Amino acid sequence: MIMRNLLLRAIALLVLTAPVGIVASCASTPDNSATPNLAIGSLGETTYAKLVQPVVEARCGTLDCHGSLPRGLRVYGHNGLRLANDDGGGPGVLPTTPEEARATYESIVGLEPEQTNALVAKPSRTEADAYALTFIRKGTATERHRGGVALHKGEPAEQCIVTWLIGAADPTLCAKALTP
Amino acid sequence: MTRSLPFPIIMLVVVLGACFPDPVHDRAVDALGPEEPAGTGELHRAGQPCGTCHGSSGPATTDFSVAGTVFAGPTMLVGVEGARVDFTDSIGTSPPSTTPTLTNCVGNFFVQRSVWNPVFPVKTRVTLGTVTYQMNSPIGGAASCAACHKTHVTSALSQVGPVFAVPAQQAIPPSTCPVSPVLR
Repeated sequence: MIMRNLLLRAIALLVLTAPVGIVASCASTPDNSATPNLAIGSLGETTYAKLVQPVVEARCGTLDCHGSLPRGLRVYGHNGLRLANDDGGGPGVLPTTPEEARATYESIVGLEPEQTNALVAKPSRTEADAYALTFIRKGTATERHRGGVALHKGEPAEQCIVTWLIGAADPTLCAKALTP
Repeated sequence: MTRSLPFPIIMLVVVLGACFPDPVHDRAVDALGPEEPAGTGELHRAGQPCGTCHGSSGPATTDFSVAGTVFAGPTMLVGVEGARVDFTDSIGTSPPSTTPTLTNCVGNFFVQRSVWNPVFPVKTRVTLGTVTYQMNSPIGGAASCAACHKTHVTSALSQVGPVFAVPAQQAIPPSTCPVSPVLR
């Protein structure tokens, strides 16, 4: 009798716990964002963060422009939109974080991934190739841009971004773009 | 066999289409709420985004290139009179120096587009007496200060507090304004 009760309890426990085990075995591994997950070719994220992010922030990232959540292209940074944080970092408070530079980079390369990939795939890129991206066409108002001309063709800020897009970012131009 | 629409009908549709309201703009106007009891005028709707109505899409008849409200402090929502607001656009132009942009008795100020049509981005600063506050970042394209400067901040990640001009220790001068400068 005791054996029978034990057996019934064991079966009941198995029936109750089996679905949990099955579901758990099917669940994907939690993403801790420790590894890159962009399925887009690289345009040089490290160079972007170091040289180009400050220029993009200054020219495109104010709160009334692309420092705004509803925008297709989101620019995160010191004077504009901030990523969620526990440090009290709001617009104008605390410097731009590496995570914000990365989020902005992801927004740029993810704006039209096919075009970005096509640009990355080119063995050697030209300025004209960079202008295949809506990002730069809108910035220069070559294509209709509600914010007008944010970048004038040939000026240091535009050249900083374009040279980065073609894989030859020029630190001098990027620094010059930030000079008032 | 297919027949294309006659040209006059197509043109009629195009013209009528252009007259249809812009639902996004209409919602933004509606969101401002009903007019204040005192009615329209340069003392109304302090702290609200002026450019929503005072733009090319109306419904106001005046078109402002930049406009806003200057308050006493970040948490002291009392409009400040006599603050001077200076602007410089990306090609170095400013509103005429002969008519400086000053806040009225509820703190409102505006620049008519017919007077100055800036090429954004625009740098700005507010001066009251001997104290000047320079805005850290340029205005990217918004006509309204309140597009970013909120009297009640609901998102600390994407909004900033009101434009203010009075240092923390300084008393606010008494007001003789016909409309209360205190924002409720």
